Amino acid sequence: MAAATSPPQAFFIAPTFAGLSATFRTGAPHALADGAVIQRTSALHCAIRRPNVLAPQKGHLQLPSVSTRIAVLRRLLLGDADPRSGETAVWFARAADGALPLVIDVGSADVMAALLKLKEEVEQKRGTSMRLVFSGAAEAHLLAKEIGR
Amino acid sequence: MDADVVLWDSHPLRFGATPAAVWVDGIVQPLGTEIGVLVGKGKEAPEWHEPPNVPDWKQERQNSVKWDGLPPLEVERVSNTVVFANVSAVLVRGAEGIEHMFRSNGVDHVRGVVIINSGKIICAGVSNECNSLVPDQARFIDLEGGVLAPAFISFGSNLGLQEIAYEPSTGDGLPFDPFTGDVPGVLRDPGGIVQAADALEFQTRNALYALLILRQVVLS
Repeated sequence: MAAATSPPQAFFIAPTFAGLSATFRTGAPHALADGAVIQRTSALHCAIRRPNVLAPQKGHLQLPSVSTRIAVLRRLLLGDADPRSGETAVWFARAADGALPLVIDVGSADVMAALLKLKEEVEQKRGTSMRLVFSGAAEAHLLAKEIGR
Repeated sequence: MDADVVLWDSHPLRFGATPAAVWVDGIVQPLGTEIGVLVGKGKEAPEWHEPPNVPDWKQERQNSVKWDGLPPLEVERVSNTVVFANVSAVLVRGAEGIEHMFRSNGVDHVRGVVIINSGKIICAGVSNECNSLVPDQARFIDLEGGVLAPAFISFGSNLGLQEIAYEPSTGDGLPFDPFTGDVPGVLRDPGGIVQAADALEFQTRNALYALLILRQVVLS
């Protein structure tokens, strides 16, 4: 193995909502070495999984529902890139414009179908072409034709 | 007294060693033979019953003493000629994906030689073809029937962000999740988005230690 693309992540609980992955050379001695970081921001990552009954609950807060996560995605992808509303808005606007791939960790075909609908909605409203990637995608075979379109 | 016994079909430290029978408290345990686990098949050769070769770690021991227990973990870079002998196949990136540049004949197992200079393959083939290109001071590596292939790119793992899983002191730590708690106001970003590039770890000495400890546990 020569290089790796790693997204920020949280272990053994529902993954964090969003982060930017980097691609780097695994054999480099440190981050400032020549060619150590191949790409500082490779993709925008987020995860939409159904709440896991075994996942530890953080305090009294419930893990967010699939529809809550998709609603937030919709707001971020259709929102403007005004930096005053935070870095998240800026990066999601870049993903909505297709300037940055959006990688979504997802397993269910139903959630993937909802995300393909959302992609269509965003592209129609913004007149852009998004680069959407499903990671994990255990049930992707059920939607292979639609994903390929 | 507790007496548990495992009967292996080959040396237990060989890759592919499979239990032929297991006794727990003197009772024979059911095995997975009915679901298609092959026991003993293809392991008739004598080497299956000998322990695998163990490296002597001499260089590693010397380095450890020389560097006071903290030898550098930098990858060795070789710019002059390297000769790989005993190569069974070479895979390269071609116009239409990964292609075989060389592949040993499966029938008589003739293995090839690959000569690399300044990181580029200058010759690959069965023994005699490349002989004239081998310089005197070349470094020889016996691949013992191994394959040379383009390197992989890992995707989506914790590589470079967490050296040992479950051990927070060796990694980036957990980012704030805006769905399950408040992102600190000082971030001025309710979504709390973070960049992996800010937390990359190189050399990952703790990962090496974890591996060494694991190896000790397995072998003891």
